[in-house]
Amino acid sequence: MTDQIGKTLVIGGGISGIRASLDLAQAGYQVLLLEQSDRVGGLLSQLDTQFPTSTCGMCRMLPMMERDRVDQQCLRRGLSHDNIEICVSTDLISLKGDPGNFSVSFLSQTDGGRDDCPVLVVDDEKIVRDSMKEWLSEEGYPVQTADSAAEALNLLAEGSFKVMLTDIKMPGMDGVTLLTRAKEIQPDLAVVMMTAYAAVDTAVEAMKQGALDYLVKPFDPDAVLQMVDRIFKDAVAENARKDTVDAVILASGATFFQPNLGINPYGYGRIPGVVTNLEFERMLSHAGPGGMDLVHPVTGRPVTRIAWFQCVGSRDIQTGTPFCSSTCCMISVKQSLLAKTMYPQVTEACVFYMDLRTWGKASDDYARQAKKAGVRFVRARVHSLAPGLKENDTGIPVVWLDPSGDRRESLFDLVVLAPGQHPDAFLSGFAKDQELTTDDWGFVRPEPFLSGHTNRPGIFVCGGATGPRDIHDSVTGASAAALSAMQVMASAGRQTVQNPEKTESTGLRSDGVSLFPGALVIGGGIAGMAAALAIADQGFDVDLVEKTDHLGGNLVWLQTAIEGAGSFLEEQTAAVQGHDRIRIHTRTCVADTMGRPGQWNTRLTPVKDTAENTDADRPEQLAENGSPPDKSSGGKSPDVQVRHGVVVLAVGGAEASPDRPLPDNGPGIYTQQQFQQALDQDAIDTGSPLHVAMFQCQGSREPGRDYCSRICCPRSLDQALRLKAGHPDSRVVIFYRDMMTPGLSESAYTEARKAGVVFVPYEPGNTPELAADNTGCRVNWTDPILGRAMEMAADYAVLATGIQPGLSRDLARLFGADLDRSGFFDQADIKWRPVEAMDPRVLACGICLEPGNLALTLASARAAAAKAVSLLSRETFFPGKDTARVRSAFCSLCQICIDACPFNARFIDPETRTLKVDPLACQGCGICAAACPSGAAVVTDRSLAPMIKTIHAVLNQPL
Amino acid sequence: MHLTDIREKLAARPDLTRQLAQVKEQVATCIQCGTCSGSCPNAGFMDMTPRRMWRAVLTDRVDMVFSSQTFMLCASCYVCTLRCPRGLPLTGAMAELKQVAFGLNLDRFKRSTLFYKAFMDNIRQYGRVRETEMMARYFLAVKDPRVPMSYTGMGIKLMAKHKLHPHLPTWGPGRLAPLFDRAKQQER
Repeated sequence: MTDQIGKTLVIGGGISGIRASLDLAQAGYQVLLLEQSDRVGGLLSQLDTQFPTSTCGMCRMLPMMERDRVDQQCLRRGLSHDNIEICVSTDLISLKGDPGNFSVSFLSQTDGGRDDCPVLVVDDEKIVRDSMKEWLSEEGYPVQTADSAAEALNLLAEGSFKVMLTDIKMPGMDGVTLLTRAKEIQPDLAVVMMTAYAAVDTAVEAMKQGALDYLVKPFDPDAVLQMVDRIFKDAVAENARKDTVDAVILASGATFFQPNLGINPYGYGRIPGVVTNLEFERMLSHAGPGGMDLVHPVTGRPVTRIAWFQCVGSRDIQTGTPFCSSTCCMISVKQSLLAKTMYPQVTEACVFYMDLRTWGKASDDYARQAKKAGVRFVRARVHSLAPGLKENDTGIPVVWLDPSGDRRESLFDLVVLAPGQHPDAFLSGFAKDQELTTDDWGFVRPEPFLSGHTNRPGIFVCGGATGPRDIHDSVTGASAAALSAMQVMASAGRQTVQNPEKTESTGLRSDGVSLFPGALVIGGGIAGMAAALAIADQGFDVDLVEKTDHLGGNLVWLQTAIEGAGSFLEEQTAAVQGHDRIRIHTRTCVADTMGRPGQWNTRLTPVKDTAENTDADRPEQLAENGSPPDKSSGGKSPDVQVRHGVVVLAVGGAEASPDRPLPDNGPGIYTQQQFQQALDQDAIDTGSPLHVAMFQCQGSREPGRDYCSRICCPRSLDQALRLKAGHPDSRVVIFYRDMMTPGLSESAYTEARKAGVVFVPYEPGNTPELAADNTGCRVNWTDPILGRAMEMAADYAVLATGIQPGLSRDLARLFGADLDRSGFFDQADIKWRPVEAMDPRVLACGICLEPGNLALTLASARAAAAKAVSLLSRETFFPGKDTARVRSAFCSLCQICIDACPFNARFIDPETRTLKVDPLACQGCGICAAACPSGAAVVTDRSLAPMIKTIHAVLNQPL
Repeated sequence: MHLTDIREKLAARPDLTRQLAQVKEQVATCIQCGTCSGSCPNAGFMDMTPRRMWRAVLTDRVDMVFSSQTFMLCASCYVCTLRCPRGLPLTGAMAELKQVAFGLNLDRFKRSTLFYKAFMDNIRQYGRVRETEMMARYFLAVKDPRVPMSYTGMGIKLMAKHKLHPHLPTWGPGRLAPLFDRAKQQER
């Protein structure tokens, strides 16, 4: 058993399923990927571009290691990997078992469709024969009829049937005799007796003689269909393939709300020109129905005025959707920006929204680009649509109420609806069968603090099955789920597929590049600890570096604010401290590093005890963390050298300091973190009626820090609810720009409204005025709906300033990575490679990677760990077909190629004095081959002669 | 002043204060998206859109609420209730505001109140509306000769077209009295 290769079942071939499969396959495990539809890629195969890059880039998910094992083709067209068995058009039939031993059976939809299940209906009454034929044919069954038993026997002798439905009382031979005779001709025939109520006894008798079941006349069509369907399914289930897997990843995704099924369809399917955003995505595409033009789907005329309606089937109690679908705002921002920039004919691009949810680190800036490009954003909800009088001539009239209360009307050629994400039928069936815990809306609820774990051990979940997700969160969650599956396989003692190059030619190939078998994790917050634990649990040495004298980072002050976080932090800290593969270096920082990527030799040095150091250079250590710096320990220890093959940057971040000049640092003005700590330490008497004003986006989403920190709105709601729970007469007013409560966190927003929290929207430049003196704070604002000047005396004013990443450019550059424009870790690709730098050995997680809550931080930590484990378990990497090679015999070591390579992938091996290519860094661009004066640098299959011939052929010139 | 006037009157009527608090609770999850006001067929005639009305209720601006005629113009067509993404019972809330306004006995709603009363009394009596008698009773209740005078033109027109059918009033408990009594009982 122990030398068995580990195998995981991945259900769903969308983006999450592909990511999880590739991670497992790269780590050397086998994957069985089941997909119901006829292709992998899910929704993404229909999207040409993604936000905020306005490009696709899905192929960036392709492995960076052992690249020859996977087809280097566009992932929207398909996926192939030696270790992944892909079964499209396949249904899961059953799944049973425990971690390390799940038995799964599945069936290809092409193996026996309904057209392979011919049905014979025998009845002497024509009306019965005809109606049965009609019902069953409509469902796709081939049906033949016979008006007597004799004719039925003739038909049975001629061809084979799967099901026979026969009447009992017929002139001539009766049904029961027909049953016995038919079974002689075809023993496996499923026979269902049809009988009047009076003859049920006969039917029961017939069942003793081999009839499968009976139907009582007069029957209802559904009962007949259910009966035949059941026989059909049992028959095909015999053809199902069976397999055994160690772990299961559920990545079945979500489905889109269908506007025409809602109580307010906005004319979808009725008014020409009303389309969903997915349909518009195809219209926008140059490969779509309109080709290079953006034309009306019915009239074929160029489209010039487009409106987008947000929250169709999201944030709508009337459609049973109290949650936000997270992605639709950004999809509309992208589509409006692209429509405006790709097609100059588009004069009017207008997005109607309730809150523009541009959460995350790059979305807000993207929305600003759209505004700059001329897209109009209107905070309004259009109540319904009616066709125009002469719709084809004038367009669709759209009526809305602007914030001041004035009624406006405009005509549009196209109305694009942004439908929300809903759980699909497969998910509800699967969750029920497997007894998975779901939330009120049917999404699978992951276990707290265990991203991607369901209540069933060995069954993990990621992507849209856990709630509305964007690509970035799905991809991160999928890698985290892959790690969990790896852990199950490792603890079941499973092996990995050996690197074929290594086994075939050990000692023969000298062009391999190996990694030092260990990881360096920088930052001892919860992200760093989770990553370190996951890597160490898979059997690799980890050095965990922390600047302060304790582990835990921001979770130390947040532990009472988040339910259950205190004990979780304690457990994690104890696990890290007790782990024999983790070396903890507190009060230590990275001094410098030497060696090639993957063979780093990093020097760790104690943190100097200066006041400036504490304040300026240690953003992840917070001033109010409650524990005074320990000056006695560790201060004098000598520098430590650490050899490691991967590095995980998890240095965290801190609450940004309020950059709005405060009128007076009066006693009532707090930052959000300070207020939280005051609440947690009971320094605020929540039992008395308090007046509290909360200000969102203080310095966030503005030039300088032009991103949304994603955590402040949910935290403010939490604090407001706490104040309201403490005393219902407390008056809490939240001043916001857009409430960023994506996904299921929308329910907290509703809760707060219900509790009586007052929400006041403001626009930048029209911020409410806050004044404070010794007696308290005063806020003056103009309510946009009432149009009146309002005033409030507040005991406390709370400023939500957001997250400031704590990653220094010097540290990132030490390992060849860099910071993005906002100061976070610069990912290789924000969507497709969210936790890696261009060099896959440099990883990042937590809030130095991107702003996010605890769940996201843990997901990114586990995703980074999955990547690290995949790399470390392979040891040596060889150049493949798509990377450059060196023909050493021709190489004069002139090093021109080293300077030319933009990816720092070429180096001189000091041992062999030969030039080598780092296959993990090389992107196969071929610049080295062009730069090399002696023809020593080559890219396989892209050599000079065929290239020249191709050029000649293109120019149609003889050689 | 108007504001103190309304606040005082409300303070004197705990039942109405409670009813107003109920309205506030009913619309608590309003997100001010404006769908109600966009869909309201009468919004154009209102001095304040329904959205602003809910906002005033939620921010306890009773002065704004009861200096408006908005809820009086609500035609109970239920479009806002049908379209509200928060699923709020907006038409019901408008009706409750109407009741509170009647209960407060404010001068500005006196004529509306009397009109509604004349209408409902008429229904109670006959099970349908007898317009001529209803208007006569309304004019008597208003106790202001200028009001019937202002309807003279319309009255003459209607008379010319034989649209006015004077009936002898009937006395007694009224045809729909049991129904009305039962409803009153249930309201309690």
